[in-house]
This record gives sequence, C-alpha cells and structure tokens, in this order.
Amino acid sequence: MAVKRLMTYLYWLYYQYKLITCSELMVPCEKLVFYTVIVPMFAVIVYTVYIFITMQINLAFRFFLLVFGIHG
Amino acid sequence: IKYMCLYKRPFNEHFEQAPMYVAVLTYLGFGVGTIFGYLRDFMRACGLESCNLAAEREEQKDFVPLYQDFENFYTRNLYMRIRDNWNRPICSVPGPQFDLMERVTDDFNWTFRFTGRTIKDVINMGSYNYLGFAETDANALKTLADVLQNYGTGVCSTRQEMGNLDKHIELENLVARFLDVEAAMVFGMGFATNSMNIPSLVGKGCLILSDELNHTSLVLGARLSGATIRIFKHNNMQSLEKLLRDAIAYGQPRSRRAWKKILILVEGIYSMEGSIVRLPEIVALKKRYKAYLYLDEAHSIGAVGPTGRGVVEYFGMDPEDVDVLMGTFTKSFGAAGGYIAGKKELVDFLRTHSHSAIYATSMCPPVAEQIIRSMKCVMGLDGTTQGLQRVRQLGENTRYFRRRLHEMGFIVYGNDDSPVVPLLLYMPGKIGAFARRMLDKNIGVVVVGFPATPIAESRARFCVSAAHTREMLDTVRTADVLVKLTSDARGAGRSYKSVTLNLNNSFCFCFS
Repeated sequence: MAVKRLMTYLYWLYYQYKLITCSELMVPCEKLVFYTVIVPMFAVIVYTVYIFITMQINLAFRFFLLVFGIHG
Repeated sequence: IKYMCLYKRPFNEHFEQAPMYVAVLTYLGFGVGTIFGYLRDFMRACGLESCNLAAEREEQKDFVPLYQDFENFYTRNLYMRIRDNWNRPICSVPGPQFDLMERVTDDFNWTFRFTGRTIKDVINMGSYNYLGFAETDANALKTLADVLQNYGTGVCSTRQEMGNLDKHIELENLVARFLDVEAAMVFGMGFATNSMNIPSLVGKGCLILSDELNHTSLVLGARLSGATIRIFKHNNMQSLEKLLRDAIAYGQPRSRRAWKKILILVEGIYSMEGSIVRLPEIVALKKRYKAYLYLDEAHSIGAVGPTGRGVVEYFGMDPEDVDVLMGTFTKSFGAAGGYIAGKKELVDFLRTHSHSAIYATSMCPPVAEQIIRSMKCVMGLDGTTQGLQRVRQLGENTRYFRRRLHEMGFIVYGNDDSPVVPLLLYMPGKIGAFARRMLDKNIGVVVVGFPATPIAESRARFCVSAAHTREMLDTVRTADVLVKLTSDARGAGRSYKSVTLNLNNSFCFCFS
C-alpha cells in the first residue's frame, strides 16, 4: 500500500516536471534536442556537486581536527 | 474609511497571489517555449522543416516583414501546440451537457480532420448559460414556434427604416419594466451595442475613465468616440478618485478648459476575473464629482441579485443612480443582442443618433420572442416561480462550487457571488494538458492564456449554470485531472499539501 502511494507520488512528480518544462507539447525532434541538452547538463551538475561537496566536507573536517587538535 | 458603510452585505473578493516558485516555474516554461520557438523558426528559415503557415511571397521577401512581431511569433510557436483546445465544433444546444464533434490532428495541430463520431453528453462548464435558458424543450418554446410562423426569421431592414416591429416595442417595454427604469432600447448584437453607442454619447473634449480590464467592445467604443481615455486600476476606488480629482482640477490637457463630460465605464461582472464592480463607492464618487456612469451588465444581468436584476439590485441601489445601464441578452437569456436603458431622454436620443439604429439590422423576431419569454419567466409573469427558482439555484451552485474549489486548495479569483469562476493554472504546459484531460473525462472547459490574460496568470474559466445539478458539479470537482495537475494536490498526500502551504506562507512573510 505504501509502495503504491510512493509510486503514485513519483509519477505525479514526473508528470509535474513534464508539464513545467512543456515537454508534453513538443514534437518528437524537439524532445530529442531537449533531452540531449538537459540530461548531460544535469549529469554535469550532479557530478560537480558530488566532487565539490565531498571535497568541502573533507577540508572542513581537517580544519576542525586541526583546531581541536591544538586544544585537545 | 467612509466607504465601508455603503455596503449592506459583506463584499468578499480575493485575488490570492501564488507562491514565488510558481511564478519562477511559469517563466521557466515560457522560456523553454521561446527557445524552442526560435529553434523552430530557424529550422523553417533554413528549410529543414516545411512551413505550414502564412508567409510572404518570394517577391515580397525584401519588403517590411509582416509576420515578425511578437504576436505572430507567439501564435506560430506556442499557440499552435495547444490549438486543439479552442474552436471545438458543437453539435447540440449548449445546455448543461452537450455533444462535440470528435476531431484529430495528424500533423501536430496544423490541420484537423473530423472522424465522424460525436462525443455525447459532455458536461458544459464553458457556456454562458447562467440561468439555463439554452434549452430545446418544445413546451417552453411554444410561443417561439408561433412567432416563427407569423413573422418568419429575417427583418431585412434597419431599425429606422422598416425594421421596427411590434415585438421590439414589446421587448423594450418589458426590459424597462424588468430594470425599473423609464425606457430601454434593444440592438441586434451585444458587442455592437457598446462599440456603436459610446461614440454617440461622448465625443472630443470629453473624458472617459475606464477600468483596466474592460471588455474589448467598451475599449473599441471609447477609442472610436475620439474622447480622451484614462485608465484606472481594476476596481480600485482610490485610483478612480485620484483621476477624477485631477480631471476636475486640471481640466483638458492644453487649454485647461473644463471637460464637457466625464464618463466612467465599468462592467458589472468582469468575465476574466470573476470580480464584481464596487458600485456603491462608484456612485458616491460620481455624485460627488458630477460624472456620468455607464454600467455594462453583460454577465451580471440575470445572474446576480436576489431576483436576477443585476448588480444594481445586488447592492440594493436605485437604478436611477446609474446613468446608462447596458446589458446583453446572450448570457442569461439564451438569445443574442444588447440593450441600453435609462432615462427617456437618453433612449430617445439614442434612437435617432445611434449608429446601430441607423445602419444595423434590427433584432430578428424569434430571438426577440425568446428574450421576452425568458424575461417573463425570470420576472414571474408567466405564472410560475420557475424564474426565481433558477436564480436561486444559480446562486446555490455558485457558492457550492466556489467553496469546494477553495477547500481543495486551488487559487480561485473573484467575488464569492459571481458565477464566473476562474481557476488559476499559471504554467503554459498546464493549459493544454488541463483542457485535454478534462475532455477525456467528458468535461468541456474553456482555458485562457496569454493575450487575454497577463502572461503569468493563465486560467481555466468555469461558468456555473442554474441547469447544472450537484452531481455534475461534483464530477467536475473530483475529476482526477484537477488533483493531478495543479501544484496544491491532494493526491500526493495530505501532509505534503499542508507542508507546502505552510512553507509558502512563511516564505511570503519573509520576502514581503
């Protein structure tokens, strides 16, 4: 039952995404262009965030270790 | 302020603003549409795609371009994608349910073809059938059949020549009695009533103060008259008062003479917003500053007021306060045409000086008889209480529908008592999807987008009718479509809805 609700919710989210970006209204060749631009852009952003966040956390952790290392 | 005491009943109007993310996503949708519009135009110019629309001939390519302004860009790139939701052919009377001809498109809305089938019993939420007089019941239309037998269909003349029938005189007397004024005059077409009569009432040297959201017929009439036009913000009495004071203090622009006439143009119910005019305040202002008032009751006659006499009765005011009462018979009376009512001198003047009377064909007799019969029904002169029942049913249906939509969490504009219910959709992708999904569920709605409404506020406009039963309204209300499409959806879980609403309220608080 909970799985069904989750699936409904995900489908609803997906449908909202399609409406907002007007993908429903595009002819097939436009959809092709849209996805070949958006999907790589999104992938690049995710990759950058992934690298950036882990690096920042690493640096922050080392900084705090240094600070508390002096005190402790 | 001093004007609040003029209202005898509460005046609830709301124009809720959507949360910020909705506006952002709307502009994002339009941005994507525009980018793809440029892409398609480029492909058409290159020849990669065939061009199905109007273009200049080869020899004229060096002339000033005809089709490059924003309106044409919008039409070919954004409107064409969702064009199948408008101009749908109907093949039955537009009552509470009607039949549509099914049509499909093979090339993405450039051309349509009819499959030959009809979609039966589609719930009609788009026709202006407020009192349900669009009916084909033979009993009700008996007098019409007699008139058709006696008078035929065409009048073949203008009002001033040979087109003045006794049916017109009877109708005019009835309209004057209905509105409780001295005299009235009827015209064959509602739009033409406005656009042809305002030029005969005002001219150069006069000032017209017109509401921001007035109908095209009023705007056209005002422009044709040659008077100076100043716009005040929609239903905003402070703006109107400021304009009136400036007009009286400063006079005409260069010569500083007093204006010959100041005419305030307002409508009873605004059809895109669903708002009702603030009549008591306007009448108070008009009396104070000695201006004239022209009230266009196209949507409100028959639809508001305890006995259906329009906005004047809704606010409990005297019809003598309004100088020119104008209305149409298209919406509540199931016919066609318009009227202008007021003092006898005004109507006599219009009989001789109106363009419509001199040049336009007068109303045809069966239509006049339909108005006579429906008006008698509303007034109760036919011996039954059917008219009053219809007005009450319309009021009930309106309040029920609006309350339920509001409870479901949608943003609905307008006054609580107006039968025009605009439901805001905002995003361009939702306009087409909403209309198509509703048609799949056998409900016909009217959606409106950019040129008729501001660009970020597209809406679906429901017109509640007295002929709708509660089951029909419930079907429309619980249609899965509504839940799936709009941002505040219940289907995604109650907690989600309340969380988003709370977050949005707090955001608005922070940023306002």
